[in-house]
Amino acid sequence: MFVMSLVFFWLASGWHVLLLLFSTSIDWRCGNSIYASNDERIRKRWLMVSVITNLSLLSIFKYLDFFIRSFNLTAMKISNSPGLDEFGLALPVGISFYTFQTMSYTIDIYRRKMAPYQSFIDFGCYASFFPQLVAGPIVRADDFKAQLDQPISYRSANIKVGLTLIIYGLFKKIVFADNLAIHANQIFTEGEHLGNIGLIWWASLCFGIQIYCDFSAYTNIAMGSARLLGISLPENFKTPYAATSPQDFWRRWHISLSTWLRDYLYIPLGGSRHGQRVMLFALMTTMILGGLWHGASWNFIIWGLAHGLLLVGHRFFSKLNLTEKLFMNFKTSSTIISWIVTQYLVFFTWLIFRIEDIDILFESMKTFVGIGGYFDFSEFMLFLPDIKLLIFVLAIVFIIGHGLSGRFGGFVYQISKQGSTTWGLIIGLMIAIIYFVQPSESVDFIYFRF
Amino acid sequence: MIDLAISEENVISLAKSIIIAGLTFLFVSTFVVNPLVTNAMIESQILSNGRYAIVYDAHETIEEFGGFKATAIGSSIIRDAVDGLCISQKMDSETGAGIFNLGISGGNPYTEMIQTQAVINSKTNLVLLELGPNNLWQFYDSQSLDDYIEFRFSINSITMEHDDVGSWTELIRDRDLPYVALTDVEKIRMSKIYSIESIESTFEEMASEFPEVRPLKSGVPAIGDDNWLEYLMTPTYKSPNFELKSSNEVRAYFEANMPKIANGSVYNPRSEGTLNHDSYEYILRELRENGIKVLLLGIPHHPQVHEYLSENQLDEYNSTFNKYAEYDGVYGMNMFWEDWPEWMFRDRNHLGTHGREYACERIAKAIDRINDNQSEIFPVNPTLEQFYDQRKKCDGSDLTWFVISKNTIIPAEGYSFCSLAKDQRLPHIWEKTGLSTGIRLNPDIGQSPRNIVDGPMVGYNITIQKSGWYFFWFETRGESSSDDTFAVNFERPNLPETSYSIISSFPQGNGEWIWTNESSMSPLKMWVQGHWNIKMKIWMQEDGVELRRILISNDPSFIPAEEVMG
Repeated sequence: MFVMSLVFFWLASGWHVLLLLFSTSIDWRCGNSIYASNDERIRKRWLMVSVITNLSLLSIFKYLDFFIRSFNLTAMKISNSPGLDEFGLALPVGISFYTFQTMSYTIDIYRRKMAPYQSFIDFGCYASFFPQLVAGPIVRADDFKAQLDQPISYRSANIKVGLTLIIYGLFKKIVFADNLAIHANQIFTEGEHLGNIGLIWWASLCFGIQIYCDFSAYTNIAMGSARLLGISLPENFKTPYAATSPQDFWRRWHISLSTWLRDYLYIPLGGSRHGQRVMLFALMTTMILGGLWHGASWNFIIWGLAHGLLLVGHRFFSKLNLTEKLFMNFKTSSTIISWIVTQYLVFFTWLIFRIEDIDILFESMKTFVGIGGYFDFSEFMLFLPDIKLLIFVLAIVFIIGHGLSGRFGGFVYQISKQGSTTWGLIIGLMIAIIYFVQPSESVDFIYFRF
Repeated sequence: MIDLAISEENVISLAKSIIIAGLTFLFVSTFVVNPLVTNAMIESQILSNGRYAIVYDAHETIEEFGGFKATAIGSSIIRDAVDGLCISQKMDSETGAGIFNLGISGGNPYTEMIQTQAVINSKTNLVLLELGPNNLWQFYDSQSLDDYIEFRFSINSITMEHDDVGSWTELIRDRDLPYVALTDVEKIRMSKIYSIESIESTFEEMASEFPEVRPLKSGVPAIGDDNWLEYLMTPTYKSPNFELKSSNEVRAYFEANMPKIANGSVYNPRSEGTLNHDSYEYILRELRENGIKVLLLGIPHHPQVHEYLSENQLDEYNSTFNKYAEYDGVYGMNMFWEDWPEWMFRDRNHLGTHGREYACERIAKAIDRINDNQSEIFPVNPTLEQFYDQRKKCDGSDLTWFVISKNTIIPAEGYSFCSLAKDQRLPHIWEKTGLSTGIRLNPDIGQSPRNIVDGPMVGYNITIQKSGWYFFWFETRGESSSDDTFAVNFERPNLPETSYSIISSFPQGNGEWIWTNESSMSPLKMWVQGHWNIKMKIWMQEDGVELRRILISNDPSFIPAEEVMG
């Protein structure tokens, strides 16, 4: 499996496979050395070697050019001096994911939460496990180790569940994400009619559905592929658009990253047990770095900052118990209002995530919140691409399906447990829809960039 | 970690699940998506012309048709030359013949070859196969040609059935094979190309407020609709072009374009060795082996074309035509070299309304001869002169209409005398509509006479016995604003003829029958002194206008209404 993963990575990212091998070897050595020593100084030193190596690789390949660009921009504004040359390094596939994964390995050993893997091959399997190598989910070393320690069994049930997950993932990616992306791209890239509230709200909704279906689809496919090999990967999403608060949202969105950030960044920075100032600092730092993790671009930093502010705002707001007081006898109304406000804000932040052009971003944000906007339905219809009704129907189906999926504990589970005939009918129908509703232009997985 | 463990699954039930999934996919693809795509291609605007998608459904309809049947195949030249309804009416057949026109824009022997098996399956009696100089070119490298072949083969692949696949597959070039679906899987792949647009079109149809009255977007009726059979025989022809231009404009067109076109492949045919020749050989062989007779049709091009062609430029066309026409079961009717007048053409190589009428007569006679097993050499029947004579029949009833009551109604078709158009470019005539009582100025090709007296006229002898004002009403209609007017004037005893009054039914009528007496000057009325014999003349102003009844009243306040006068 290790060799298979390396071949997969080599095909996907060429010579960067050497980086993966290098990072894996260093963390393997660090993990063993930390575990073997009882001397706290030596343990810490090896931990630092692991953390610095991983962060250095990440910084060089992902952020160096961004920092040079930002420096050049600042320097140019101050002294009009010539800037530094960018390196133009290609981003190794999945570097954000596997560096976080292997860092958590050495940190967990340092914290004495787990023992190292028995063999380098096993550890290599964990670090480079191909189904989730490119875009997660970020797997914890002890979870993976526990499964590797069991003999791998290729049960028919695993194959059925694996196929269900893969097809369900493809369904979300191709039918929903790729089709809705066409509308979102048209509106955000053309940069026209940005004052039309209908267009901006629709684009935000389309992108929100796109990014969820895109990312969760990849997770499903990764989980399904792993399941075919007898490995269970953690769930990464839990109907995030049913969240009724920012905190709730982060419990449901990209769970493996948010829990990683919580365990390895937020809590070490002080967490919420050392007073409000420390909590504020830890939370904002975590969210900003979480934003930066997504990509070397200012809009991701602002996106992280915005979510940090939402979380902070929610903490203070919830202490006032305003909604509980106002809707004391109408708990359902309170939940609905919380849901609407939360989702309004979440979809607002998707604008920041999606739009890299600052002018288009600010114009869109103003319109989204109703500043200087207007609504023109004919302009709305004229500006959208030719395929409209299908996309409207897909958006409605997604919204209803998302809600039902949460209520029934996930469609994947429901489909998997069906008998042969029903399973075959549902899966066959899904494959047909995937095939015939696939847009002519394919769209890369968004999180492949990260 | 969410546990997705499920109850124990064994290999057999897993295999069963996967097989059911596969069958479901095939079922949905074949019985849901494929019909959806086919219907959308015909009825909506997915294709520039829904006609491209009807070929195989048309052959199925032809198969079900009882009586003698003939199928015309070729390019838009054959499409615009064959009026199936007209031919079937002109034929001697007593049982009612079906002449089906499947000519299509851009069609060439190579692309049309793939419907050969479907033609055989339809059990048609005769194939009217286009063979003009434009059909014998050597294939050349051209993106637009490749795109067209891909387009036609893809569409036909989606709509054809398994038993429509014949040995024509052996003639398909390797480069074109990806566009021909011979298996269900390939057919599914082809359907996918148009699936999203088809789904969108289906949603549009569902969203339409009144789907039952929505206009046909592609100009092609839905399969099985009331006018489906009629459409297969008489398709929607192109609107007039040269007919609306002056002689100078037509000449200018040829001067600007013909030198280049004359040097192109269309007018430089080969005698053998091209893919088109191979396709002809295949089509003729297969049809003859299956007992289907073939009538090769050479349709004339505009007479000015010949001015730009050198003397022997089309020799290879002639030799090819003659060669194929000598095959057993194959008949040749080469009208290409005949001298058809300019006003019979819509453009350089397509017949207009009048050309189609003449072609109708000629083809009908030819089919009759084939059915009677007569000589294979087709005489020119009718000749152009005979055709003109037929058209020039204009017989009035010589009746005199007496105005003896307060309101007198004269049926428009009961005209007493008539005259034909004087201008040869206007071969119009007032004809009985056939659908309802009344007369109609045919053909409706959007023309007006240069002067009113140049157009055809119908006249009424009317005797009015009492002095007074008489008011003239006309029950008329026009389908559009260019179909709505005619002119009226009177011959009076011992007085000069009145000037022309233009009567219009549009926009008040908007395609409905209306009573009107509003003329271009005022309500149409005339003072009668004593006992007068007058002649009322109704002249062409715009073709397409219809006239059902004429009412003469001496009551100025009388207004006829449909419900009262009906």
